[in-house]
Amino acid sequence: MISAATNNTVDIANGKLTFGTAALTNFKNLTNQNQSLWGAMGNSFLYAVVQTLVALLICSLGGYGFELYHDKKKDMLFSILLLAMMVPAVATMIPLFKMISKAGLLNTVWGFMLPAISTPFLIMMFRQNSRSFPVDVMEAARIDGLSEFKIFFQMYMPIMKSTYAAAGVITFMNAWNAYLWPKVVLTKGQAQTMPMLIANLASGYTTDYGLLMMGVLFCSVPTMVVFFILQKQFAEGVTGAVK
Amino acid sequence: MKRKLLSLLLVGAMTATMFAGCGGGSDEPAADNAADDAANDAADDTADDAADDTADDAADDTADDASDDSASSGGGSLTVYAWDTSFNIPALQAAADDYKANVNPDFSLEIVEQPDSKGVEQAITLAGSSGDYSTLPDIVLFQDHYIQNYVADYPDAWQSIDGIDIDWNDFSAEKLDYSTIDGVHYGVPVDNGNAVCAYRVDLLEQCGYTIDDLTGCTWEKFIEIGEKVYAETGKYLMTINADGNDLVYIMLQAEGESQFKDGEPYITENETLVKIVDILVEMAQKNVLYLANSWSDYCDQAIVGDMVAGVMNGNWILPTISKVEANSGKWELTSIPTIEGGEGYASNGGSSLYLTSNCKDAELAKDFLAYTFGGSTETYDNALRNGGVVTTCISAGKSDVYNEGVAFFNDQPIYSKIVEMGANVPIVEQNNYHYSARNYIGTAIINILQNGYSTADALKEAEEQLRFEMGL
Repeated sequence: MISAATNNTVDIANGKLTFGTAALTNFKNLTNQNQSLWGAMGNSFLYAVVQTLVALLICSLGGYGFELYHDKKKDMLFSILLLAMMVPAVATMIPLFKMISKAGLLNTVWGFMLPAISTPFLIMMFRQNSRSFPVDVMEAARIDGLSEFKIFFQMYMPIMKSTYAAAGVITFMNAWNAYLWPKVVLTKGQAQTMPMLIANLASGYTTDYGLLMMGVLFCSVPTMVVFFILQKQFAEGVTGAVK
Repeated sequence: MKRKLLSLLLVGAMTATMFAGCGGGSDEPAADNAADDAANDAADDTADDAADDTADDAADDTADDASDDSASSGGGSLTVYAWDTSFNIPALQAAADDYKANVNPDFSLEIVEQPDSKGVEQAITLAGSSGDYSTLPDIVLFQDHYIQNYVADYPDAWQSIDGIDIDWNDFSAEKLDYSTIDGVHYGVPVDNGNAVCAYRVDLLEQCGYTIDDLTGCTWEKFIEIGEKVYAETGKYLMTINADGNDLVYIMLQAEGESQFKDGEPYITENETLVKIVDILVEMAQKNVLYLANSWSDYCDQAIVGDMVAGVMNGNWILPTISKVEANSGKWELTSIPTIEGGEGYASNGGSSLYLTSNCKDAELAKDFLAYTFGGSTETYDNALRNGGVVTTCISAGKSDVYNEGVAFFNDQPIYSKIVEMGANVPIVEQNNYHYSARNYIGTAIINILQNGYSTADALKEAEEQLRFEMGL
């Protein structure tokens, strides 16, 4: 990918794998597109960061509640929630589009993230990992007079930070790479995201592969950075470790 | 008990999903969609919502709504969905600049880029399926071969452009045949899908031939030349992508025939089509025709990878050919060979601009389209310079820019030649299942070449499958 971003189409089509000299041309062509590269990057960042923060807060509250305020009715509710995982996303696409469109949220960050801020998968992840949360700490905090919300924010959140990191990486990547739903709700050129820009680069009767690879490179860097920063916590988070 | 309840819930969820999947199919006429949507909504939403939605849908779906909207707003801006930054979008930009400079200085055109023609089709499908046309732009660029399908499926998504100030006699009749439905004009042509045969004249010379030998020749003669070219230069005289099947359609249209007759598949009984399939099979067996696996193989390996001495396709393939700078001055264009000899003309691909029912200012949109793509030489000259878009407008094709020689094509004035050839393309019967027919015939060719089918058996299977898909 990196070497292809420095070559032109003809070289790439001929299978050249070494670095070329067209990097600057490809970059210039990329920034001269009809759609702004920086605009799309900015949109992708805004949507992905907001969605990650809101989703983490809501799903962790959900998972925390299901596990630590445990009763049979909640178990039943949780089973129903898991059933929601079985409904394919495409089946809900048109009803969701109608809802978002009627609420006037097309082309906004809300339209982008509302369907994704509370996912059964994340709630389940927080619930499973909450099993290893030391309940004694909660009891101690209650005796010390901490309110339930403060227990969540001051005790649960710091202790579960590796789960937050893992869930954060997953949500950020999903939000950053999302294509189908954004394509449906973001109908204006200015609201477009990086994956949509990349898809547009690959369009047409002839594709400029050098330009396309330069675009893909720009699109991949943020997810790589987020992953590498949180790599250690990610590994701990998915295995459910609590320190 | 708990398990029973769970399994009941599971079955319930699956059934609900199934119903969601069955409702409001895109193949149904949109007139029924309002009723379908209402039925779906009643099942999906709460009782209150359903009542609201039904009322909303009914309001949304009437075409009157759209015209009310157009009266209510104005302003000098339009939005258009289009694809391809190196082809269609520069053409639209040229038109916007032309209109702004010469007619309305306050005019602005927002071009919303789509990944491909499918992006636009999906937007229409989405709006049509949800009954909410308010999300559509004013104008969409739409593939000619698909438009009749979409007008039939979602009649409420479009507005006719009858009354627009354009001299339709100035356009290629074959092109207008797509955008005119039941005598009503819906679209204004943008590009010209006229098919061309491009050959490497230097390689032909090497084998003792000129481009004149290939102009108006029979396919038999073509194969003879192709065999010699392959033997002496190792390059194929023709190429096709195995999943695109452009050649069959082009060759068939050049004979004035179609894959359809009176709305039904016309394959096994169609002697011309059978003959063409035999010719293609013979070409592939004699190394005259290179079968690329996919579109990207076709473009990147066969054409840009310099494996071929000839290409036959819509003229929009020329920018791909021009990518290999080392071959500049070595290519020339001519018409298509035919079975009996004589010059053949055909058209493949191309698109036009259509007004959606959501167009807020239909008068402005019509005026814009009429002034620019209706015949402005400034628009068309710049569309050609910046995007390589060739017009179907006969008068615009006579400008100085069109008559300039193109260095890559041995200084031939290829663009005026393409417009000239475009005027001769015969009108053949079109059908909503155009691409399906092409695909089945393409599969038949692969079956003959690789799976030992006879031509008759392979085409019979193709026709049966097509009839099944068409519900005949």
